[in-house]
Amino acid sequence: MFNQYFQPNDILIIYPELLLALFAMGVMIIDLFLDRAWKVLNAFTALVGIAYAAYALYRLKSNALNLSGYNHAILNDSFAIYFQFVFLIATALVILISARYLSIEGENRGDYYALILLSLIGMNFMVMGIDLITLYIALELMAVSEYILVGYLRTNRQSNEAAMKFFLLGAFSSGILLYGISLLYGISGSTDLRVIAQRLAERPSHDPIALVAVVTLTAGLLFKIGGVPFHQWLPDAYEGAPSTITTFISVAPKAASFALILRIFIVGLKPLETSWVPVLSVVCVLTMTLGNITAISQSNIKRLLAYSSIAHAGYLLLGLIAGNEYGITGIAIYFLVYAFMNIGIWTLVVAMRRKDLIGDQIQDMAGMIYKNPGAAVLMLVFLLSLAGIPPTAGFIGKYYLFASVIQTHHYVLAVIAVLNAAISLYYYFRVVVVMFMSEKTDEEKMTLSPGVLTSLAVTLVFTLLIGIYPEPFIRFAQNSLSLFQ
Amino acid sequence: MIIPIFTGPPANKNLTPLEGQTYSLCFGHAWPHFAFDSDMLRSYLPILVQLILVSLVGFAIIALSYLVGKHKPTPEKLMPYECGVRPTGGAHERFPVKFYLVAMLFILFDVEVVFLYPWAVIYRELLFFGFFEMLTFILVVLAGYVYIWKKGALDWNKN
Repeated sequence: MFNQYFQPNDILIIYPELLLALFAMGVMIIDLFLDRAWKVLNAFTALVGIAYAAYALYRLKSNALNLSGYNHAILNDSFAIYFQFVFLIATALVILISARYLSIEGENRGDYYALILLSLIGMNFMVMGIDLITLYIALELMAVSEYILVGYLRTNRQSNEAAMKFFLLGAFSSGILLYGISLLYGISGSTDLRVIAQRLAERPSHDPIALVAVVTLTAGLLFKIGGVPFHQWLPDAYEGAPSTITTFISVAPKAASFALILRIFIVGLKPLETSWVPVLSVVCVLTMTLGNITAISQSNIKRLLAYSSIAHAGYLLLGLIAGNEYGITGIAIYFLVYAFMNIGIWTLVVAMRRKDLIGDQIQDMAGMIYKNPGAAVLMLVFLLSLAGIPPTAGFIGKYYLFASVIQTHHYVLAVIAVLNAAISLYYYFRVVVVMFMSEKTDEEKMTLSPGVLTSLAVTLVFTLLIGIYPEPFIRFAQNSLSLFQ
Repeated sequence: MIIPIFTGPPANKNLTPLEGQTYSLCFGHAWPHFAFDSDMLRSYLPILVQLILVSLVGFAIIALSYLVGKHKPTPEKLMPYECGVRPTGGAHERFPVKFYLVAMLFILFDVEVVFLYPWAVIYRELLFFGFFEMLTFILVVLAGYVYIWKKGALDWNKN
C-alpha cells in the first residue's frame, strides 16, 4: 500500500483534516435530500464533523507530536495543534449562531457549512505547513472559501460588492505574496522555511534581494490581517458580509493568517530580523492608531467592530515585534481570548437581525437594557473585554502583548499601545451609552435561538474564566512556543 | 544567474580566470557569474535560452510573413471569418449566462482528466497506492457531479 511517495505518517497527521473534508462533502450531499424545514440538520452535521476532528486532534496531540509528513511539507508540532484547537472552537461557535440567521435571510443551504469546513481545512494546513508552497495553497483554500461566503447573500447588493472587493484585493495581495515567495526560493533554492533560514543566515546582512523579498512578503501577509496601509478592504467586507460570516472571518482566518506570519517570520526570516522589525513597528503603530481613531466616528456597529478588529491586529503585531517567548505566548493567548470575546459580541449583533430590522446601526441598540437586560449586560462584558479591562479575558491578552515589548525595550511602542487602548475605551463605551442611557425606540425583543444562547453562554463563561483564572489557559497557550525549536 | 546578453562580449576560452571569480560554460564560452550566482539558478539557464529563442521565432514568423508575403486585400478577405458563411449581425451580442455555467463545469471536469492522464502513464509504478488514491480523487469529483446534477445545473431548460 505504501511506497516512496507516501508514508503511513502522512495519513495519521492529516486525519482531522480528512474527517473535516469528508463532513464538508457530506453536508453538501445530505443537503440535497433535505426538505426546507429540516435544513437545520446541516448545522448539526457540521458540528458533529468538528467534534470528530477535535477528538482526532486530541489523540494526535498525544500520539503524533512533532511528526512531519509529506516530505517535510507539514509539521505537526504543538504550535499547530494549539492554533487548530482555536480554529475548531471559533468555527463551532460560528456554526451555532448561523442556522437561525440563515433562515431569516432565506439562504439556508448546506454549501454554507461545507464552505466553512473547507475554509477550516485550509486554516489547519496553514498552521501545519512548513513549506511555502503548502502554506500558499492552504492560504488560498481558506481565502477562496471566504470570498464565496462573504458574497453568500446572493440577492443582497452589499454582500456582492463586499465579496467582489475582497476577492479582487485578495487576489492582488496573493500575487504580491507569491512574488516574495518566488524571490525567497530564488535566494535559497528551497521552499522549506528551515532551509531558507539557513541560507539567509549565510548571506550578507543588508542583501537588497532579501530585502525586496521581505517587503513583498510583508505586504502580502499584512493584507490578510488587515494591517495599515492594506486595510481598506476590511470594513467594507465586514459590513457587507452576512453577520455570521463577519464573525467567522474576524476571528479564525485572522488567527490563521497571524499564525502563518509567525511561522514565516520567526522560523524563515529570523536571520533578517533587523530589516523587518522596523517595518513592522511602523505598521503596528499606524494600524493601532488608524483603527482606533477611525472607529470613533462610526455609526454602524459592524463597521465599528471592523475598525476595532484592525486595531487589535495592531496590538497583536506587538508580540511579533518583540519576537520573544512572552510575545508569542501573548499572541497565542490573545487569539484564544479574542475568539471568545469577539464571537460573543458578534453573536449579539447577529441576534439583532430580525425579519424587519437589519440591526447593524448602533442606534438600533437604543434602550437595550430595558428590552433585553441580559443581552445588554453581556454586551457590556464583551466590550470591557475588548477594551482590556480586568477581570475580563481581554486584560490577560493585552497584558502579555504589552509586557513583551517592554521586555525587549520597545518603550515607545508600549506607550503608544496603551494610549490606543485608552482611545478604544471611548468608542466601546459609546455603544454602552446608547444601550443603557437612550430611550427604547420599539418594544420588540431579540429572538434568541438555542444556538445563539449556547454560543453566548460559552463565550461569556470563557471570557470571565480566562480573566479570573488564566493559569491553565496560559499553560495551554505556551504550547505555541514549539515555534522556536 | 548568468544572463549572457547583459554581460558584454563572450570571454575568451583561453582567458586566465580572475581570482575568486567563478565561470560556467555555455555556447562554448566561459561566462563569469554575477549577483544571482548559484547552482540552482544556473540549472534554469536552458529555460531562459528557450524563452528568448521562442520569442525570437514567434516574432520572426510574424515579421517574415508581413515582409515577404503578398498583400492583395479583397472585400471577402477582409470580412470576419465565420466558417466560410457570410457574417450576419453585430459581434457584440448578448448570450445567456448559462454558457458561463457550462464553461465552469467543463473546466472542473477537464481538470479531472488532466490529473487522470499522468496517473495512467505511471500506473505500473504506483500500483495499488495510485489506484486507491485515484479512486478517492474520482469519488470527490463524483460528489461534485451529484451535487451539480441535483442542483439542476446540467438542465438546460431550467431557469
